[in-house]
Amino acid sequence: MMERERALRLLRERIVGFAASHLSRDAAEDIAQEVLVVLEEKYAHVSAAGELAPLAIRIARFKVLGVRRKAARRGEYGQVSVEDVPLPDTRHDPYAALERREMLDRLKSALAKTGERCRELFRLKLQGKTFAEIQAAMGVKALNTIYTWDHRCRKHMLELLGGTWEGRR
Amino acid sequence: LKRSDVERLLGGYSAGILTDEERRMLFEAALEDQALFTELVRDEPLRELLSDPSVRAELRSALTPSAEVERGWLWWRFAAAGLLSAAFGIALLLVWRVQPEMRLEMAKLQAPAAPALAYEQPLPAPARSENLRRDAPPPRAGVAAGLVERRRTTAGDAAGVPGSAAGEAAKARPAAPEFAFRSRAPQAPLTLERRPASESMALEPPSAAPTTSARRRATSALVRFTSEARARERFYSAEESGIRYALMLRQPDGTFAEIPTGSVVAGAAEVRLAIEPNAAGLLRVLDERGTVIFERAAGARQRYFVDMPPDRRSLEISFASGAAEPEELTTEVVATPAENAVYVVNPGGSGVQVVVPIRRSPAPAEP
Repeated sequence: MMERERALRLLRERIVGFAASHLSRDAAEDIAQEVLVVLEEKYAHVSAAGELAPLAIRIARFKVLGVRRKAARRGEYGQVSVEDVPLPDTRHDPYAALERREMLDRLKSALAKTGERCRELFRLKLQGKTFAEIQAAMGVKALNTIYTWDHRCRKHMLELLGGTWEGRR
Repeated sequence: LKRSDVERLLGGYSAGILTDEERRMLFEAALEDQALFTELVRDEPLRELLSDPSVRAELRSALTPSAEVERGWLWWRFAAAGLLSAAFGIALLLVWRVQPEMRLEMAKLQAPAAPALAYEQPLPAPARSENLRRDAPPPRAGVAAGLVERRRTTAGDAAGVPGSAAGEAAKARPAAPEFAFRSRAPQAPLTLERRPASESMALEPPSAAPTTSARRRATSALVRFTSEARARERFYSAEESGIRYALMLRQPDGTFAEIPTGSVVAGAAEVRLAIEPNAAGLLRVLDERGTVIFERAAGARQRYFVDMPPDRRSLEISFASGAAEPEELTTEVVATPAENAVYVVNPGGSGVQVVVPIRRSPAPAEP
């Protein structure tokens, strides 16, 4: 129980730190509070930090996106005509699908520009192989080498994509 | 994995391939490290995208070269290898055709060795048995094999050559003189006695090449043609001015025949120098004292004969094409094994100078 409390305390700090870089300090505090509420209400049984953290990250990201979309609808980032504001659609979201397709295309384009080793690493990762299995598949002596190669590959791809996987919003 | 290196696991998180231990390490570290936590949040869209099996499949197919592409690459590799080989072959062919000398055996004509090639074949056995006084190693044939192209001239022809002092004397010479030559082989001197006219010359394998100034000075530039036709082709192309010269020995029937230029002849033998320039120019022959014994405005491909005074050991041929002075021995000597003549050309020059030695041996005593 102590571990969960410690994890939630640390998560709150991290979420505020992340959200504050995108939103106002107050909004960031609000988001952190909302994330903790969700974790408390829906994921009370999860106590390990390694499980709580990814949950918190996903919730925090959705919350930040929600706040930004809401702000856009309110015209906080610029005046938008009422006719241009999309109505919520509970069915398949074509906008999200388009975003997804664009992101996929950008990713494929970036992968095509990377080196042979990076593409091979990415291919093996997509096959679901762990780092240890990738090490064996690539015939590398040390696991740390694979970690390093993957880290460089990720960094290079982010550079090719302009610093973000999603593209500029 | 050190705590400071945990960020290297980020790529595994988005791909969903971290083991439980790696995952625990990453998030433990992220709770303490704001930058790492922010990175994890930044990677969340990628994790979401890659969690879709259809997206993974599409990316995998994009990253896996298809069999057709593989075959295409293979084909291109073979094609490239074939093209490279063909280009190499064409280059070789071009070099082969542009520089015919490359087909020729390049050899430095070191004085003792070079002319010996003309004497590789032994004399026919019967002739040796009849004429050899005592056992000796088979002399190297030179006369029969070497005198491929004899230019027969009469004594009258020789007498008509300006400066041919010996020509007149040749008329008075007996029709069938005896010649006795001795081989210079160290342990087996070869002496011939009364022999038929056709075998009246026994030429020693010259221990030294026809010693010319050109050879002495430009040994490295010598090119020996293995093909007589090729030597002639180069000489008669007249792109490089030069001369063809040969020693001629009077035969018992009064005619003169070419002999190898390194031959030793009897002291009293009549020797004549045949010179043929491949271009028009000034042709001179000087004796060893520098006295001009022959001088003429020579025509291209005309053959001139100069009788060699019996007391001279060498003559110098000087030929300048056109009105230019002869080059100072920057000549290239072109010798052919099947012919007794020597071709001397000067690549890029306007003339040649060659010193032709005459080797005479004292007449053997009658038994």
